Amino acid sequence: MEKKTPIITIRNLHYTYPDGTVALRGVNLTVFEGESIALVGKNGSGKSTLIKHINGLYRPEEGEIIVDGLPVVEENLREIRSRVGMVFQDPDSQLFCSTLYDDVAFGPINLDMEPGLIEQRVHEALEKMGLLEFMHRPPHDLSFGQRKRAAMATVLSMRPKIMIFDEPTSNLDPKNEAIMTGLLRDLPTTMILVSHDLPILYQTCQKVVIMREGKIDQILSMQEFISDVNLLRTNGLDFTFRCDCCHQDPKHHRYLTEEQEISESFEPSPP
Amino acid sequence: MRPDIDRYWELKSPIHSWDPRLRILTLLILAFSISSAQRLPTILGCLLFSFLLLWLTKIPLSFSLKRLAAVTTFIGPFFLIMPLTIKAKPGDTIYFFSHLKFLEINVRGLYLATRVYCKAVAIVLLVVPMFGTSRFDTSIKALEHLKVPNSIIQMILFSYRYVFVFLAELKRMSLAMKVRKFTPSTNFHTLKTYGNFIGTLLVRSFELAEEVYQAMLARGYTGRLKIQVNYRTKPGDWIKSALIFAAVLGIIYFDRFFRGF
Repeated sequence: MEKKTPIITIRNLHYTYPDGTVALRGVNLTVFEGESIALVGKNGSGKSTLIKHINGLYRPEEGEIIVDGLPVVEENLREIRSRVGMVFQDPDSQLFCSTLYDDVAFGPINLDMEPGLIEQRVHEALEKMGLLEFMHRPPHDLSFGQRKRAAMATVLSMRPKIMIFDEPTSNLDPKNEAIMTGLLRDLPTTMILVSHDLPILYQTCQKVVIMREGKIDQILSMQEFISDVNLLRTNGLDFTFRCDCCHQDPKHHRYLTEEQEISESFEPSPP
Repeated sequence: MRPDIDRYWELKSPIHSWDPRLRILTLLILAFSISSAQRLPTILGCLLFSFLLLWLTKIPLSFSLKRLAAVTTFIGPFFLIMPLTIKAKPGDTIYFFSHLKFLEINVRGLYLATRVYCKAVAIVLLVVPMFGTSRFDTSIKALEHLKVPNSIIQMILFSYRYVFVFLAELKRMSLAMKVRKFTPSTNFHTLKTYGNFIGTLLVRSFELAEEVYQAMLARGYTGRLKIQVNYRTKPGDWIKSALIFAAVLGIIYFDRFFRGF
């Protein structure tokens, strides 16, 4: 059996915001190389705070984080940020340059790559996201869906080993959502996905980490997670409104209960 | 009016092909020489020269004239205020109305207002050849080569990028007010609503700024914006700059020393 290598190790992580809000209360988590993890939980459960620690944006008050063998401390931040890519929820916070090219090149330039390599990385990332033709356009000229993909390209160009996504499909229309899901599914990196969008999580992640009140509440396989309707509901997840139940026979619309939809859509294996 | 000054950067003209560093530096010197001009004939000549440069860019005149609206809003009132308020000197021509003797119109004030307005228009017209003939980011990055501090360049670039986000937010919020039947009027409710509107906008801007900073840090930003643009100066660029410098010398000579007519 193949031995899994831990790529992120979080031990007893505590964090309190300057205003006194306790966000993390002793988080312990190990993520293995190549895994795709869904990080779920209610709003305010500490998901965003946790992912910002992995990239070194927040420093632990107590506990430690080791990313790809490197402790997240000041002297390792440059290296860690080249290995951990983070895509924020709002693409406007990720796209701050005057052209898409500059935005995608921002990371590689900061990593002091050679100009030729930077250009190659930018082209590759934009091509992968289907945005090559918009390379010299300012981000405000792009649609929201394109901006979301562009935000992803800005991180892809750095070729990180770990990618973290905060609500990658929020506010996207079904077409762009499908594109984004496809892109996420094809990523060859270790991935942590924070989302309330169950279909996306189901299609992209194998493992679910549930957070509650600043702690890891449960770690389950995706199948176990979607089989438990109460668990889904408690964690603010729902996918009733977007099931394809009417597509086969539009004349006979069926309105299913949440339980029926879950069981019919995914047919989880019996426990 | 969208603040996209570089809308016509893709056109082909002698000004477009000018090295941005030389172009900005030369036109900036020209702008200073225009601002130093004192005589109306010189200033009118400068105005004509600005129009000539604008014509050379092939950018539609209407695009630049729209920008003049802001100048007129600020400087237009000078035509009203200066003739009425300027201190009279011996030799000034003053008109007054027989019934309103306290209202004196000094012609020199009108002359001064015309000078200020023409200078302002001539300089504002130069902004389009200066920054509208290459992509805005290329122009601003050229400033880095001209030794403008990196922090100022960062501020300009971010302001330019986020003015669009800010405008979109402004539009969204004002729409949210409209759909709830908000009609501005002169009362306390309107003042309070506008106060809340501006406050919310500031808070949102602050939150966005914080997130942008985090997104920058996450991609290896360490406080300095690394700029990667290669500029190439051709002999033709030097010739263009030399021609403008000749014009600058002409302005100074004509304004200070020429007393022919």
